[in-house]
Amino acid sequence: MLPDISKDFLFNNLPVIFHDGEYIIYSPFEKKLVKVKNFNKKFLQEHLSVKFFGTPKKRELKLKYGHLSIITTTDCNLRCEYCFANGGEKPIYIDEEISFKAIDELTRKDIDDLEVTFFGGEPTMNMGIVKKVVEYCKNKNVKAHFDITTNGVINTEKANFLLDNKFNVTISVDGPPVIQSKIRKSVSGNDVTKVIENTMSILAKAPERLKARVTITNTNISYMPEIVKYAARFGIKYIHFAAVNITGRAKSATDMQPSAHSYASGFIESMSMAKKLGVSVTDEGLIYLLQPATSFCSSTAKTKLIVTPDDSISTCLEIQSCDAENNLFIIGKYNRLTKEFEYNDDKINNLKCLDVDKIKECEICPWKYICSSGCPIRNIVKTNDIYKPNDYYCTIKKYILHEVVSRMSIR
Amino acid sequence: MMEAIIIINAEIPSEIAAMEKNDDPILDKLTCAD
Repeated sequence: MLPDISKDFLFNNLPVIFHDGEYIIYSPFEKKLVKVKNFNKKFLQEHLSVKFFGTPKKRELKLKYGHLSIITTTDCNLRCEYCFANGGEKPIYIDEEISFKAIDELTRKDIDDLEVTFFGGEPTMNMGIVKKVVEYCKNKNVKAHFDITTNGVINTEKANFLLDNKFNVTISVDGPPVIQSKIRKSVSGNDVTKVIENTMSILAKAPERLKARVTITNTNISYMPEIVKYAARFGIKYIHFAAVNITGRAKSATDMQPSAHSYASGFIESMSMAKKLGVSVTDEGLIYLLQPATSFCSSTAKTKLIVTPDDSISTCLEIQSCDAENNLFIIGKYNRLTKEFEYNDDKINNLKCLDVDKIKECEICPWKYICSSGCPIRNIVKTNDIYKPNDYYCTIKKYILHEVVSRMSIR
Repeated sequence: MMEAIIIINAEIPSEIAAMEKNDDPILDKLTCAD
């Protein structure tokens, strides 16, 4: 059942919810909650500290880390019906030159640690590059941490490589076999559940480094708590749910997106299941619960680099080519002649201007500095405008954030 | 009349994952895409 959010409001930059006869004010700045029976604005302003109310700032990356994401290929061994990247349709592969140059580019900037994320398509379909990058970092004495997002359709040798090299692994899995076999089929239409389950069993030997990414469509919406149970059975501690975004292949079947209300309701049921099983769930709306900011992501920070198989520099893992529909997120290119990365400062500055305080629709939203107007890609897909929030995801966030704050208040 | 204010620490429930909630490195890598 969904909570009543009709009495939630914004007060001095902070969300206030009305729950169980009390007003609850949440300060992500001071990590405190205030509960009052009667809401007296003047009294609260006088009696709560400046720190409690806080000042939201632009989201920045921690500077000691360099973040490199390598989209190893646009190829894929699955044909998921909603794939945002149209995986496998125009397969191209990244090479050593740009991958190694990207490491050189980041490590010359006084960066202590490098975090390298491999993404696709299915990144393990270019496993040669994954291995060479790991080796290059070792030979260069770069203190690197590795992450990968995979569909799990990999052999035991590849899974063991990820385990042995301490990769943080996000495995895309949409539920128990009955669901998985419907939505995430192989190129030839086969059910690959057994292979994925084998991969999960291997990777779960290091559960602290394993996370599941679950895309919710109308096919698996009623299974959300069941999916938590299924993932927990394999030792997965974190389950990241997301309602499908209508882009890529999902555009040809717009009826696959569940209603915002049913997703929020399913997520809340999943929270209860997670509590029972000792695991955690999340959603895009909850990621920044402890990190209020005026902008959603830090993708234009100079210490972050996303390189793609067509030599583009992207600000988002979801935009993988200069031919992409939303190529305003492609902010540069690797020049093979000069062997340098060339940035388009106009595009970077345009993205840097994104600020929730400039967005009319967010003006009085209680969650404005936690949501920060949401992912600009999600916004542009629905509204054709990065400055216009996607109301579908707004609705979801309003319900689940209310629920989480109400749960915080009873501890 | 004095208003009654109850101030408590905002602890995120165990069933929720969020960035910086604890030192678990995988939580610092939550993004909307992966």
